[in-house]
Amino acid sequence: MPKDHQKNKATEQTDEFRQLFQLYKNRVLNTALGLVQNRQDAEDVTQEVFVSLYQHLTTFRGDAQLLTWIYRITVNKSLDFLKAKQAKKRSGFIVSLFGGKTEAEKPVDIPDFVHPGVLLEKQEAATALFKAIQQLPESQKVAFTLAKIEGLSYQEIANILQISLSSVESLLFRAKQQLQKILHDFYTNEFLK
Amino acid sequence: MKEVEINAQIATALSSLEGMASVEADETLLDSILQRIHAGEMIPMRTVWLAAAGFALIVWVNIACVVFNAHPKHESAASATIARTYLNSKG
Repeated sequence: MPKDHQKNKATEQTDEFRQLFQLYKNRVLNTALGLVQNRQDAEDVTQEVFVSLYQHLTTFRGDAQLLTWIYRITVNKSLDFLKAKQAKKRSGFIVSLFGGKTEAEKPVDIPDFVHPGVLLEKQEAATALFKAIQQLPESQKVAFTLAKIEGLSYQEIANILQISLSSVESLLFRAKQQLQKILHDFYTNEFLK
Repeated sequence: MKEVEINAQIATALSSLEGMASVEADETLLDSILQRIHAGEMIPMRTVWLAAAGFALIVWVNIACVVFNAHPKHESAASATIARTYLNSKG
């Protein structure tokens, strides 16, 4: 009898998890995609986020709190993923110093990212923008991605990043300024080619 | 002229995300996640072996203590006799 009860509870939890997955899968994937700028990597991050969500399922009950937490964990997992990727590249460089052939031997360049959701006529401009976003400091990159890709309000971003509303405004203002500078350099170089 | 053109391109780039469609997550993603979750719930064989080895070590230490407990009694009695003889000789 207790075994049946346990089984029912597990099935109930899996069903609840399936519902949550359907509700939040696209938000998680799109946020991760905006930050890691690679579909496969974004799917890996999405998996990590939902495994964490399953493990902490019983802790959350309020919907607003859950959504904020999901965004927060998506941002953190995406940034961790990028850091791990960078570290891998750096260790590859050290190996290459000792004669090993690694990916680090390829020229250091930010790959072009064509977001599948961007309109066809805007894809070239968006690719330049995504390249510029990658060069932003971490906090500016996250704030800009949440605002422009996810379309979140300043208040929502403030809740996710656990900072004040004025800090979000400041981050987005600086991000836009920085992007203008990076894009100016990029297009000047393109013009000179 | 050049600067005007560059500024126009910057403006186009900055507004290129407007009207962007949401990317749909693949349904197979859920299966992969559930597989990972259920694999994580199973106790790995390595843990089972480690627990068994730990238990065996505890049993072995206990047996060793029982065996060696017999000897210290004689040894401590002998040590006490030697100490007593030494102290007596010192007066």
